[in-house]
Amino acid sequence: MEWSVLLWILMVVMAAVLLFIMVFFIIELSDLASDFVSPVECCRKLSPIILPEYFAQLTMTVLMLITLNFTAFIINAPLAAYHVYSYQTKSYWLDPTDIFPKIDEKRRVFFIKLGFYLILFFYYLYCMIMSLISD
Amino acid sequence: MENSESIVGGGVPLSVETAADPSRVRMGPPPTSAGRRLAVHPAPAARLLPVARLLLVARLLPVARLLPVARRALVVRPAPVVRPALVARPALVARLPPVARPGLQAPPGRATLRCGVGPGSSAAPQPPHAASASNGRASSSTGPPTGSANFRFGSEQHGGDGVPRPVNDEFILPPDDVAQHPSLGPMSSDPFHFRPTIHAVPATEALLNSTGLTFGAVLSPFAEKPDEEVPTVQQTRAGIVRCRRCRSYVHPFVQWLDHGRKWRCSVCHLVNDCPEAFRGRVDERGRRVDAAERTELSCGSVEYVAPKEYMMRAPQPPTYVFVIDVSATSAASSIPEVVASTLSNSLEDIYEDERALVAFITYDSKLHFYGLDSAFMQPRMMVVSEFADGVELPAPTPRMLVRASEARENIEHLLEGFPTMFEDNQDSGAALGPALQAAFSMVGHVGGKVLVVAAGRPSVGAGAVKARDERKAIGTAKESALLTPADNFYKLLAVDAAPLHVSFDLFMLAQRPSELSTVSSLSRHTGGKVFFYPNFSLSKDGQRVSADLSAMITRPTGWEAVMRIRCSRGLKITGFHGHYFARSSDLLALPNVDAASTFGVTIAIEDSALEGARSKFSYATMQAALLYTASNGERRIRVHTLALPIVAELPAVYQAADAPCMAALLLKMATLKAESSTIEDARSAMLNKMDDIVKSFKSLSKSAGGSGQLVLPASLRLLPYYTLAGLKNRALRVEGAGSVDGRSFALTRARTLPVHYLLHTIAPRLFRVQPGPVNPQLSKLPLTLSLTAASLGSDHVMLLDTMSALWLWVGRDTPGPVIRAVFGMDSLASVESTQLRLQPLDNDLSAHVFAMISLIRSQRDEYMPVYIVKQDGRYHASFCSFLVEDRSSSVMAYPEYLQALAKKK
Ligand SMILES: [Zn+2]
Repeated sequence: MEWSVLLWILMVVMAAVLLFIMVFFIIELSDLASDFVSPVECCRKLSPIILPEYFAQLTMTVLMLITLNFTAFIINAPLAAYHVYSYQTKSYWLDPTDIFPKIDEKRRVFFIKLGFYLILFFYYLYCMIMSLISD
Repeated sequence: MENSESIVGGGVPLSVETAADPSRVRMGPPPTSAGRRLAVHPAPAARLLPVARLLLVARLLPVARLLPVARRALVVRPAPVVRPALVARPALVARLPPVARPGLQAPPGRATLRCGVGPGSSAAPQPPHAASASNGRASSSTGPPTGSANFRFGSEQHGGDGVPRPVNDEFILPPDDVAQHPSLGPMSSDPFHFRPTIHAVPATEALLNSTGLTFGAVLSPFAEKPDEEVPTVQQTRAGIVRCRRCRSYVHPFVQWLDHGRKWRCSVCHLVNDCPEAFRGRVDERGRRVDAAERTELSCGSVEYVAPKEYMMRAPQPPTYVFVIDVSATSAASSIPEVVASTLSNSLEDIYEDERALVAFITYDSKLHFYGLDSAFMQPRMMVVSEFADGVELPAPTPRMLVRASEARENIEHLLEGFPTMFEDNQDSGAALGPALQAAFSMVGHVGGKVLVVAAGRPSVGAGAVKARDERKAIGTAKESALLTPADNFYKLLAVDAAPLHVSFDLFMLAQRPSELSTVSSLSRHTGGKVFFYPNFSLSKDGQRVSADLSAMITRPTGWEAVMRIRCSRGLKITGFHGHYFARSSDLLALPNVDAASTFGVTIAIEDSALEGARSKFSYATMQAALLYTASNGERRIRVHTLALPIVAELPAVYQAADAPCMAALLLKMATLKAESSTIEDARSAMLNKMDDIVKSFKSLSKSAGGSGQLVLPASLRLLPYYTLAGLKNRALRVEGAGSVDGRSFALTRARTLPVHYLLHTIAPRLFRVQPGPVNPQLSKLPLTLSLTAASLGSDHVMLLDTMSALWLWVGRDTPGPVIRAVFGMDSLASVESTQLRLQPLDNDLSAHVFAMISLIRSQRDEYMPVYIVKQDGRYHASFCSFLVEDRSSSVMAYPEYLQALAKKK
């Protein structure tokens, strides 16, 4: 079926983009920790990307649900829940006045998410190949 | 990258001369120093073995048993009460010599900072490389005795229960023998400026953790020590000598190598070449012979006049923008009047200063700007009411930001008209946010100080906040949410303003809940100050507002300041507490800095790095460099270098502990927790810390103390007292918490006050006025009494010093003659306590009371109003909330708490 191949290609691309976003975040935080960028600059760079990332991940989750790909949905669900929680409590906001004490904590979160997107990426890749073969 | 203050202050990094020249040899008599510290010789009895000193403990018998005994002893026999601690170590407590404190004995005239190098001084420095490996042992066996001299038991004056309490100490400084290690001496920075919680560095993290103590420091870089000035370094051709790699400044604790041709930086351990003009002979112990002649090699705190390289632009002129609320609410309580009359008086100094700039903005639901240009005969008011898409300043002429000296007439004219201009203002909006944006765009290119006088919650335009319902939240876990800003507008404005050297000082004169926690983030992230006057009324607070406002204008201020703290290898700063903006992990932007600006610093120990450092240095150094512009336009660098011996043994760690400073830092840390988590969490963090310390000490000193005895090192005796007092303070208490604004303000105070201010705030000083000796020429304050209701007799007159106010408490059975002498009336029964005023009267007792009040006021730089409280009056309960040793509904009484601590396993 044509559309399922398209769906998986879209998913692979999205996961790849999210992967890159995570790498970018981690690099920026490392720069901040070693005083290569100022906290204001760092927050200005990162803040506009955080919500789109959340949105993309939630879209992925919803798409998996409506296309009845339950395995992918279950992999996505915990992170989606975390994103919704963090949006509701506004804890996603990067506060330039309070970022230094939180660098390590944020970096840990980004590393976990990086691993998560990596798993997703390979899973989507596998699904894409499978659907290409079955085509 | 270039790691220096030049990130902000100057573009050109300093280069260190590398030419190797034959060292100039200085000959001459051994240097002496006039300003050196008096030697403190420990008494023979104090030279105990380390183990014995470890056992120097505050022993407490079960208090329930002790109290009646002590009372009886006092009543029956006039002989001194036998105290458990004295029984334990009679020789130590009895024979310790009085500790000399040169700084506090107020010699006539201004001496320079203690500079103690030279023979005869107790502060002769050890050759750094000679003392390396054995330092842990050395410091614990030849080190000073534990500071029991300063932690005197005040049993006679304190009711005889043998419970440790602070004595009447104005500055609550650590004992000299704890603060100044003999191998380092007064060349290390003074506790007034830079005060660690432990005056030694534990060699490993495990060692520190085994004691349960917190390692950090409290720093007041711009503090003014009474009768002492920070000495200025004489410029030489060598310029300012700094380490090539870490950019730290040369200080008394660097190592001189290669006959003085090279020096090893104690922060990063790089070996630097010494510029030729800075060379001097080095003696066989590795010391510079000419150290006493060079301020930067003999003093822990020095000041440099910065050369051009440290300036990115011309030094900023003192710049003041006044943003004043003139809405209906404000006008009804005569706020414009108070502000105008204060400014007319305190701008005097500013008119004298040719460089100073001034501007005025007032606001209700509109913004009013004032053209003060001296080209115009009269000040012109310009009203801006459209600011939905950001504020646009009115036309550039007439100018609004003017030189005060040139526009003096227009300014005076404006201030004269001020009270009447808004008398009948009906507009009750408050466009604070737009007014602040306007102020920022007015001075953003210069930098400066924005003084904001607000009469309540901002309600119009950007930054308007809705009142949050706080009734149900107070005292519960939900209160913390109300302590965090409702709107990030003020925080973001502060983040924009701080790098441009603009700071905001907030005066909140509120009659209703004012969202202080939201608005005060302005000051918090720009190094500003917050003043809060709840239930403002002219009669109650007018004088205080006036004094505070005028102090913020006239006190010495450092402009466009940045501070960097460099720690030697093995120490890492993990957090800051105070009002600042962190521009990088160790660089704080402090747009304005003054004597009261204080920062708490928490420090972690990194084992492997510290181990490596010990092979080269026997001590660790921390250097705080504050680059600022003085009001006269001089760019200056104030450098405080703190050197602490690295110690490997427990007794040495314990004896160097500084309980008051640690209590202050713990409280500062708790304020953060109160906001990010809950008040309850902050409270339990304080209690758990104390438990940990007690338990650790108990397990480390197994032999000492049985059941029912609290065993603590002498240096930590007062920590339980301050912990308890902290929990009963407005910042952290559960019952009677009042409003969220009040809590937010108390937390702000705890976060920003210097050590002795903070500790006197949480544990006020209580004096008895009557009955007692009457001395109209009183020159010394009497002893403080314990903060318990038992100190109040129904026929007493007491005076309580809470740092922000003085409370005169009058018992219900106070004899008529006393009332008549103090208040000039026969009885207070028919008078409301708010109606009472204290007037100087022509009699000895009245003079005595006024002498006490002025003595206390002279120790503070804040104005302290006098409140009169009658024992039966309505403020008696508020007065009692300061009696921190008594039981409250959520916290034990002090003796109970000590007992509970003693039972901890
Ligand atoms: Zn260095």
